[in-house]
Amino acid sequence: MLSEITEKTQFKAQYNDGVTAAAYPVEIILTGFGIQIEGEDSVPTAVWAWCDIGLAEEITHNRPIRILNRSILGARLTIEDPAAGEVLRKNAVNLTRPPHPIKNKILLISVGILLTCTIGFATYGLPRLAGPLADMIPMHWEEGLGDQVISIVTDVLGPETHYCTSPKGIAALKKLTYRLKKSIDTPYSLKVRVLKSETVNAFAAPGGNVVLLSGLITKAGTPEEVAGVLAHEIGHVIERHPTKALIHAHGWSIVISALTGFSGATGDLASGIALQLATSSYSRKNEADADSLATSILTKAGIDNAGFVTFFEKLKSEGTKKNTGIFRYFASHPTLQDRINAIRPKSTNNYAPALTGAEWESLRAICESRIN
Amino acid sequence: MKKEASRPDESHRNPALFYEGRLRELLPLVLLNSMLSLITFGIYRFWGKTNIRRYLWSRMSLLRQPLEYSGTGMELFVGFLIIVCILVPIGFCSFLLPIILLGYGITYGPVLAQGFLGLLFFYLSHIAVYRAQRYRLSRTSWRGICSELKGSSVTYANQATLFTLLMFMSLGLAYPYMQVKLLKYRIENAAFGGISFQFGANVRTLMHAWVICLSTTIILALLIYSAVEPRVSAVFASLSQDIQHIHSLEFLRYLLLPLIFFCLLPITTVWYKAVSIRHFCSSIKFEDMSAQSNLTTWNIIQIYLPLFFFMIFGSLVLFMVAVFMSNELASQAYTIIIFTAFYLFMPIILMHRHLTKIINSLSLSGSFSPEKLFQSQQVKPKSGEGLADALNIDAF
Repeated sequence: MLSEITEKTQFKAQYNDGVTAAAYPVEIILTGFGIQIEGEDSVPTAVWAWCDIGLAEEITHNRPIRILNRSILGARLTIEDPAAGEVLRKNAVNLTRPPHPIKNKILLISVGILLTCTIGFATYGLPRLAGPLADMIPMHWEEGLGDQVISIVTDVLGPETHYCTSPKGIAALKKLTYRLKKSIDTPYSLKVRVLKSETVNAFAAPGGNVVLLSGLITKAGTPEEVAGVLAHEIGHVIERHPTKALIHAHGWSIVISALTGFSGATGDLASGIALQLATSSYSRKNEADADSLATSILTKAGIDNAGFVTFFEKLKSEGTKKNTGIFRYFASHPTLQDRINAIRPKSTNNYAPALTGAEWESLRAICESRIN
Repeated sequence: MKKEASRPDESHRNPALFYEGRLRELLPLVLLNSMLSLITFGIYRFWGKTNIRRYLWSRMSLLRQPLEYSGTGMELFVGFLIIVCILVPIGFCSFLLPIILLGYGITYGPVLAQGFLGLLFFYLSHIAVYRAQRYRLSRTSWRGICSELKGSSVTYANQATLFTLLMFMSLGLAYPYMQVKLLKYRIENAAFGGISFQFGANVRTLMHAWVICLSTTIILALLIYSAVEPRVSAVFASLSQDIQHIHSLEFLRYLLLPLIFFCLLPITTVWYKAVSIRHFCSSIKFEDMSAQSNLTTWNIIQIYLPLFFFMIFGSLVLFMVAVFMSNELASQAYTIIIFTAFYLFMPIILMHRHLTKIINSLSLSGSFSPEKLFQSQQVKPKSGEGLADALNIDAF
């Protein structure tokens, strides 16, 4: 540690003793043991050991070197001559910027435990808690919630969207719904409606609401395909998935916004990605559950679930390959192939058609006669 | 000591108080911080903030010696975790409250809950402001001596709430009064080396400038409103034929006048801003030393010039992208880049320009005795900028 000092060893400096804000002009001498500080009569001679010396400010080109002594609170030396930097780097072993890494182990450990608990709760606790919490919410609250969700979706779909009200179509839909739900036991009164929209999709909202978009009925080739999708959404309703998902996502969004900050552009972007990752795995699990429920609903109702499979195959043949690689973790649904594989083994035989030919035609025309 | 404190400025380039930060050093720091924050889901931002503060502090110097920031990212992080423990339950309540109210058939429940939470956060934000200042001052030192902030954040938040209420009741007339009172509490509770700052600002000096600015704004807003209102009504009338939901937007028409007023306010009060900053700066005294500011209205406009430039240039680019770009993905990318750049860099650019213009407009007169400024023995806050004493958690 006693490296020989061949360069200049004496510098002019400004000294602050850490007791008052006074600044003393001093001479410093760099020795094998440390820095010797010698000033006028009012300044007592002091020696700073090399191991105590740290940086008050990162050494930067064109700025004076500012060092401190770790064992004297507030003591500072300011050296104008950049040549001193070389000597300091060679001799001062702890020439870093303070503060030291936190020594308080208890603090570090408690921070670690708190963080682990929060993330652990969100990952393992929330999905399990979402169910009991959803069960605590009274039915009529859920219905209010469902109306809000549907009105938001309607707004998103655009001003052209409206409920389809052709009486014959509604009768066909009611018949299909009744056939599916008579075999199951649920406290919800199912409200199945069709919204006019080009989009091929369907969704369940809290309070027993199921909404089919008319694009899906257009895309479907047989009533069994519509029945499959409807059974899937009924599966969501039975399991209270919409309400559970709402609670789950809200819980996560609180945890994530807590971790990433409540504001700021980076925070928003980061929290968006994190929220998507966190909620989509829960959503994929729910989708798989709804699929297997749908299969059993279809079987009990005596409807061939081959239609369910063909509908997915149709989507798959048209869809782009987006749910592969890393994107799988962001997807809200399992891949279509996974879903088809999960459903197919359960299909057997001896089924009655889901709807008669005439009923099927009127269901397809449900949006055509709009009563204004 | 006596020689430096009263020493006249050596040259024009090195005044007693100056800020010499550079944007080309700051912006890479901001970029690095945001990248690291992104990949750590935001956790790095406490360390990033600390790095930026270290830089800014070290580039502000008094009598040729820079300030020093000794806070750490870990302190900010710990303070933040403490706050999370308070805010997460509030967040859950904010989710459940509207549902419960809706469940009892109170249709305006969500609005009610929002209003209540808004008030709560307004109050908490003032507590946070004061606590954050306490933390920052406790981590700020000059010549190795730390500064500190006494006083109570609850008292400050109470005052802030009261004066804000007063300001709204007086239709904005009491704004300078609120400013002076709150600044007085913050500045007179600040101390360096055991000696408190003094703040001698008075409302009367500011009042005439404020009255002129406020009345100009109101007259201009009314003029613009009377010119614009018939057109807006016409647009609404034509829209209501197409869209059935238009009645739900009816309330927007009543917001037109306030909207015009609050859009004009930042522009019409530029003069007041210069007057008030000049007055506030020259009202601060430390021992026998006081500051004078020669900040002009043009300086204030200069501070905001990059903002105007970026807004005009950015919207021009966005317009071009929307009109001429056929590739949807590329135009989305451009839009995202422009908005991200704006949100990432504009705050730090404005902060930098404020420091440059305001601090470099100051000149000091009088003197103080550095040898009488002793290291503070007060206990420092252990964690950073948390809101914990909002509920008196670390009161003792």
